[in-house]
Amino acid sequence: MIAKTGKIRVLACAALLPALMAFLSGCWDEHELNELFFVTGIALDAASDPDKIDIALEIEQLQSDKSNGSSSTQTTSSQGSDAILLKAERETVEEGIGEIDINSTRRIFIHHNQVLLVGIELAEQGLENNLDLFTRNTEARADVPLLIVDGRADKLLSIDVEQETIAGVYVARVSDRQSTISEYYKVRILDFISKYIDGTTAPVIPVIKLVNKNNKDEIEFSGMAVFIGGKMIGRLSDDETLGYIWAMGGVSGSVVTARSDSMTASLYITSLNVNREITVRQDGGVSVKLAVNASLEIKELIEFDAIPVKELIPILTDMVQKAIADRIINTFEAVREMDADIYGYGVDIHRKYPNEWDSGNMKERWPELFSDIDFKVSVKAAIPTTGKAIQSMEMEEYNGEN
Amino acid sequence: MRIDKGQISTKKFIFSIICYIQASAMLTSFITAIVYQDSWLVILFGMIVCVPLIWLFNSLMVAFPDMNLIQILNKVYGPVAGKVIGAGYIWFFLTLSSLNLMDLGDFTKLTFMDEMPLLVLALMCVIVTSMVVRKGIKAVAWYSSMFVVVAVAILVISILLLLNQMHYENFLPTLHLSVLDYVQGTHIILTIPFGELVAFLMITPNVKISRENNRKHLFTGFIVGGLTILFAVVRDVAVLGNTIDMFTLPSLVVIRLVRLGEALSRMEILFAIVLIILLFFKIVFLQYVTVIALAQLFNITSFRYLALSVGALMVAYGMTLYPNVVVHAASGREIIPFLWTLFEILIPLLTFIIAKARKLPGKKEAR
Repeated sequence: MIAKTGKIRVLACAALLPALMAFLSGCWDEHELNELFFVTGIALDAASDPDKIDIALEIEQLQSDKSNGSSSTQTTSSQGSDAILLKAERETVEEGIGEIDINSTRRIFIHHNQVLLVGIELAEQGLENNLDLFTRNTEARADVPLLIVDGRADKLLSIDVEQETIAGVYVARVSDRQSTISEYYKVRILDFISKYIDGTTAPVIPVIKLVNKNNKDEIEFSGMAVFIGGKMIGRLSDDETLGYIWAMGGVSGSVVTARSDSMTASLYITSLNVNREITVRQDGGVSVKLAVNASLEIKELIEFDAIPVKELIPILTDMVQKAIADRIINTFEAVREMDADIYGYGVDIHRKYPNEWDSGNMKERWPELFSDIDFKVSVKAAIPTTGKAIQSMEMEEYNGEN
Repeated sequence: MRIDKGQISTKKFIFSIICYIQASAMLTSFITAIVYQDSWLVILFGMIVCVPLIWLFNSLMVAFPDMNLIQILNKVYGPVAGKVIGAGYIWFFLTLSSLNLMDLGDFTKLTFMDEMPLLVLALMCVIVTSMVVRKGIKAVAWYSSMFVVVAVAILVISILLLLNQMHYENFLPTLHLSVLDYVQGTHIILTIPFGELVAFLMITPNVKISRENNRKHLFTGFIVGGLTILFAVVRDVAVLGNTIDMFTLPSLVVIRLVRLGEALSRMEILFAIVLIILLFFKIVFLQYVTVIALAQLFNITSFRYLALSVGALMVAYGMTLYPNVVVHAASGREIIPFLWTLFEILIPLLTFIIAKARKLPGKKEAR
C-alpha cells in the first residue's frame, strides 16, 4: 500500500513538474530577442490631417540584422546609423504603434524607449491627449525624458549623429548629462504630468533643433518650451532657461559670464542653492523672495588689467551677484508676461497657506496673482578660489609695477 | 479536537504576521485615491485605532489557547449559532483567499506575464499552494522569516536608491482634506489589512506560546508589519507627489524610477518578485485557514484531502467575483470595509463580551 502510494506520488510529480515549468516560466509570454524590435525613440508630430498624428518609432538595428539587410515597410534609415524609422499616421499613439506592429516582421517592444520627442506644431496643438499611453501601458516608462523638437520630430530621429550611433540614445544621454548640472534640465513624462495636474504650474520642456554645420545636420539644445493647459504658449531662450534653472536652485556645473564696462569674467558655478520665501501680502497678493547662495570658481578673466589683485575677488563678487540676479529677474519678467508660473509658486502657496488658497479662490485667480507678484532676488556669491593662476598676465603685479 | 497537530515556534508566528501584513502593500492604492499625500497619516491612524482590536484578538487567544476560532464560536454561541457564524467565517476566509489569488494573477499580468490567461496563472498558483497546505501549518509558516527579510531588505534598498528623488514638500498640505476622507481611509486600513489578522485566531492551538508572551508576539508582528507598509507609502508619496493617485500600483511605478547609472536601473522586477512571494504566502495561509475551518465545522479529521478542492473553489469563485479591476477597486473602497467590519470587529467583540459574561472557558480549559 505504501509502495503504491509512493509510486502514485512519483507519477503525479512527474506529470506536474513539466506543466509547472512550462506555464510558470511564461509559456504565452516568451519573447525571443530576435523576434523583437527594440524601440529607442518615439517621435510624435502633427499630421496633415488635423484629426491625426504622425507616429515614428526609432528601432535599433542589431548587428546581425544589418548584415542580413532585413527591413520592414515605411522605413527610412540614414547611412551609418544603427537604427531604422517606422512610421504611421493615426488618430492615437496606440493605434499608430499597433499599425506599425502588425506591418512589421517583429513585435514592437517599447520597454527600452529612451526618449519621447514631440514636434513643435503638435506641442502647440496640445500634448495632454497624447501622453496617456505612457502612463497606462505596462511596457512604457514614465521616466523617459520628454523633449520638444523645433521642427519635425521624426526628421530628428532619422539623422546620423557622430557621437552616438542612434539619435534617440544621443538625445537621452545629453539630457542625462544636463541633469547632472540641474535636475530641471531634464523633464520626464512624469514630471510634465505632475506639473500639469497642479493646475497652476506651467510645465517647461527642453527644446532641441537640427542645425546645419559644415553641411551636416547636428542636434542642438535651444531653450525651453512653456506650456499652459497642455499647449505650448511660448519659449524661453538659452539665457532665460539659465535664469529659470538658477531660480530653482540645486545647480552644479553651470557657467556665468559677468560683464562690467570692458571687463568680462567667466565663472564656473560649483554650487548654487536657493532659499525661497513665499508669502501672501496683506492686500492678498503674493511676495516672492529668493535668497541665492552660490559658490564659484574663476575660469577666465578678460580686460582686468586695471584691477589690483587684492580687489579682484570683491569686484568679481559684485559683478557675478549682479549677473545672476539680473538673469533670474529677466527670466521672471519674461514668464510674467506669459502669465506662466514655471516655478511652481502657486503650489508653494497652496502648501503653505491651504486655507487662504481655498477660501480666497486663489487657484482660479492665480494668473492674475502671478502677474502681480512682488519679486525680489538677493544673491550671495563666494569665490573661494581663482583657479591655478592668482592673476592674469595683464594685471598690474605681473607687469612688475609693484 | 485539533485538526492539524503541527506546531510552529513564536518566531515563525511573528514572521507570519509580518509577512501577512506586508503582502497587503499593493492594496494601499485603495486609500491613495481618497487621501492622496496624507496616505501615510491614515496608515498611522489605522495602526493606532487597530491597537484595541489586536488586544481583543490577543485576549481571545489567551482565553481559549487550545481552540481555534471555529471552536471558540461553538463554545461561546452554542452548537447551532456557532456553526452558522462559523459558516460565515468560512465564506469570509474563502473570499479573502480568492481575492488575493486574483490580485496575484492581476499583478503578475500587469508586470511581466501580460499574455498569460488569468485562469492558468490562478490554477498554477493553487496547485502549489494546495501542496503546501496539505503539509500543514509547519510548511505554511516555514519560509515566512525568509520572505520577511527579503521584503524588508528590498524596501530599505529602494528607499536608499530613491533618496535623490524624494521631495518632502510632496507631503504638504497635511490634514487639509475633509474629516470624512480620513475616517474612510482609516476604516479601509483598519479592515484591509490589519483587521484580517483575525485569521490568525484559526492557528491559536498550533502556536507554542504562553499567556504572558502572547501579547508581545502579536503586537511585535503587527507593529513591524504596519511599519513596513508605512515606510513603503511614505516612499511612494515622497517620490510621486500629486501623481500617486493616478496609478494602480504606485510602488511599482516608484521602483521603476530607480536610476543610479546604467547598472542600477530597471529594478521593478525586484518589487515584482517580493510582492509575488508575499502574496503567495498570504494565499497559502488563507487557504490553510479555510481548509481548517471547513474541517473543523464538518468534523473532518483529515484536512489534507480538502486542500485541492478548496483551491479549485478559490479559482472559480475568484474568477467570478468582479468583472474588472475598476469594480474591484471601487468595492475595496466602498463596500468591503463595511462587510469586513462584521467579521473582524463586531463578531470577535461580541464573542469576547459573551465569553466574559458567561465566564468562559471553564477553569480546566484555561492555561
